[in-house]
Amino acid sequence: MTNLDKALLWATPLIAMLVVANQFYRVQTYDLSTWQGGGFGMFSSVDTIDSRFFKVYLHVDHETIPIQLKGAFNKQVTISRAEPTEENLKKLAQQIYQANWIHSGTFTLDPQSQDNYRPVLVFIHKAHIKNTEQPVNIEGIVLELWKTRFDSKTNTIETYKYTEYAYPNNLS
Amino acid sequence: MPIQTTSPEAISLKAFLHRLTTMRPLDIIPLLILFILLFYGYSTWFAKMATMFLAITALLYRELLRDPRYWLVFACISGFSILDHWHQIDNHKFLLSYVTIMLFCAFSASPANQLKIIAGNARLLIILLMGMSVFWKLYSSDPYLDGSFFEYTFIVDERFNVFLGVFGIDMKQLASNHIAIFNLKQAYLGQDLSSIQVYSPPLLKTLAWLTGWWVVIIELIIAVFFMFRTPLMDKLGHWSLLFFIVTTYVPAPVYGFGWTLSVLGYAVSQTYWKDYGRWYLLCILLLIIYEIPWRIYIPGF
Repeated sequence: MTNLDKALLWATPLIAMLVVANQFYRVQTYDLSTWQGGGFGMFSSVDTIDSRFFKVYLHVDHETIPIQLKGAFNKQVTISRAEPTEENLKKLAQQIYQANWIHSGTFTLDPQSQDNYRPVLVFIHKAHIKNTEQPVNIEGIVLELWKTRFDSKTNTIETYKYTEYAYPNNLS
Repeated sequence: MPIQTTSPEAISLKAFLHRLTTMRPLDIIPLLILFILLFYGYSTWFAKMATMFLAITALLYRELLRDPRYWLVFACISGFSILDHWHQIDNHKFLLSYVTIMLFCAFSASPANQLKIIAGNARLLIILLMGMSVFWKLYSSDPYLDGSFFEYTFIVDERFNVFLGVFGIDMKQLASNHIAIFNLKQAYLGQDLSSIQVYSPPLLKTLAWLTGWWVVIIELIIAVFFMFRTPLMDKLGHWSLLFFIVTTYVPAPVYGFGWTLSVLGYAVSQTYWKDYGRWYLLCILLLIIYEIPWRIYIPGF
């Protein structure tokens, strides 16, 4: 084998090893899900992207309103669930903060106080806002990343809060 | 390359299998990888378009399949697709990307070493894949070997419903599990809920325990057998890998992964056990049969 052929023989395994090393580092340092990042950690842990989920709350007019993230937020939501670094969470929070949220016109019961109803807010693209609709003024956002664990003895799936991110940072 | 013509009466299952199993490795490996890219490749729009265009081009100019530039284009497409969706892309898409780089490297080498590079790289990729898979199962903070990982997976992952249905697990109860889990994640919008009880009968727990141990043992022995690079160990490695492919992709419908493993196994077989190559090709045909929507024949679906 020539030196070039030897180099060509080792090029692919070397690239694969570098990807695996990068994945291992990010799992250890940034809590990347072991399933992701090309480290061949599939079917190794219940801590998958799908078992991590967000609870997102908007602070509007001194009221805390939970919202649901869909569509335009999917990509950043997935990134932040896979690797919940402060930078990724901040990007998601900024995206939510800069988006237009309007009152859907419906209300739901507040689980914290059963006598109260709270408005349901929905995301709307700037191009679809009608003249009569006014986006709400967002004072702040709280992102909570929750994880799931399974207890085989009691057949129970439990959720627990893994981390929280407030935006802007001085949000009380 | 002249186009081979076949008279209609010469087309039979026997003739088909004969032609399939007597193709030269350097012809069939890139062709199969092209099929994987076409059928199970990357979902980005540019990757889909480019793959279709490149596949049609290779149909007209078969010699392109041995051109390193052709595979460099695929390596770039797969690389960009991975970078674009790095956080969500599956492991077999990474593996497929390495295979395109492998073909670029192999066809850039002198003709005498091309198959050696493919066979050597395929071996290392199988060892890395199986080795890391076992490592993460044992290193993960979750209890894996007590069966609770696969128990949870069987409960939440609908892809295993057909497999569980075969063993008589109640499909309606499994469907209720999926709804309850969905509601658990959405609960904060309207109610206060942090845990749910799910349906998990003793049979499901047993299947989960057996599956967990089965997967970790078979992956470990494949990695170890292929590591030694001797005829005997390779023979054991091939039988283990063939058994893994035939059994794993019945419950786990990740057929692109199965195809890629079959091609890698085929490539490794060129070192000591060329005759085993045909079994890997038959595995690919079997994986096509696995794609029949069996769930419509399972009671309860």
